[in-house]
Amino acid sequence: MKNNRTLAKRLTTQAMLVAAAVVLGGIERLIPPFFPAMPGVKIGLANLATLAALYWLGEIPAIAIAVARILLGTFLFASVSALPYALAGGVLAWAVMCVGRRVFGVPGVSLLGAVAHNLAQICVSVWLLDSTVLFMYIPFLTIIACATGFVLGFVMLNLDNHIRKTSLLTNI
Amino acid sequence: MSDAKYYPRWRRDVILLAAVVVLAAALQFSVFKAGTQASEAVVTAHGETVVRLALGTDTIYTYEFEEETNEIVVENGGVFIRRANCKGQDCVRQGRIDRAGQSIVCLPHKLIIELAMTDANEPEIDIIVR
Ligand SMILES: [Zn+2]
Repeated sequence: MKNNRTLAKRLTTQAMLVAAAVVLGGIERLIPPFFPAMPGVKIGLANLATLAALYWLGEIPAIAIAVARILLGTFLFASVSALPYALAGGVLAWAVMCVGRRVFGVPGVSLLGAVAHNLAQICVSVWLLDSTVLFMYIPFLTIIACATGFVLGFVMLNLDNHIRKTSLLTNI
Repeated sequence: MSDAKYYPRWRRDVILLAAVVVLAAALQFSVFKAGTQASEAVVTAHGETVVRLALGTDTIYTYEFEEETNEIVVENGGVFIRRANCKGQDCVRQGRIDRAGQSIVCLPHKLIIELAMTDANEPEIDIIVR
């Protein structure tokens, strides 16, 4: 049953995830890009929020949270020119994770999200630059995404274990 | 919401990890055929070839478009961007490249430097069909 209390709790949780994601994105911005050719390619800390939202709240809240944190993060820390990359990455990662979680566990889903995020960014770059040179980076970036995605999947499992010891996610 | 719903599916996850890594590694090795020496740098901006610089002769080429500039240096068979007025300076930080297939990208200026072999078999691309 969805009463007002549940609704308020869901809203609060969503807002909290957006806030956490924006902070994570900001922290990530402090780390120098390990791959200067593609500034958008990172550890993907903020994707953790999409992942958490997917498992805790469902698919629709997850995409809402992803878009909200991307818009907020971009206007707070980045320039508008970074928006197409971030949006494409966030949306494709979400879509792939929605499908992936029917088959794989959390680390696997997280990995798929990270790989999809990079692929989307490369595709946007190729489109904006009007050159296919950047496709050359796909294998290298995919391997990096595998590592970061898998590790973040474990972070998510740990986070989930701890959160479930509290009452934060009950009746949600 | 039951935990079982997304409890780790270890076997599948590990297989997925291995499969993607192997696939990417295979792609990587098929794309980069063990560092062939490049002979020219092709500078492309906004989707069009700006200039082709032979790597045999040291030169400095300054790309200019409106307010955007990138100082491209050809030195000892390699290329790097010494100075640029782009945001982030990512192209400058990418450093020097000297192998065929490598590239330097300046996203804000939509500029790409790509190293190529001089190949006579390259198809003619300047035929414009209207
Ligand atoms: Zn640049």
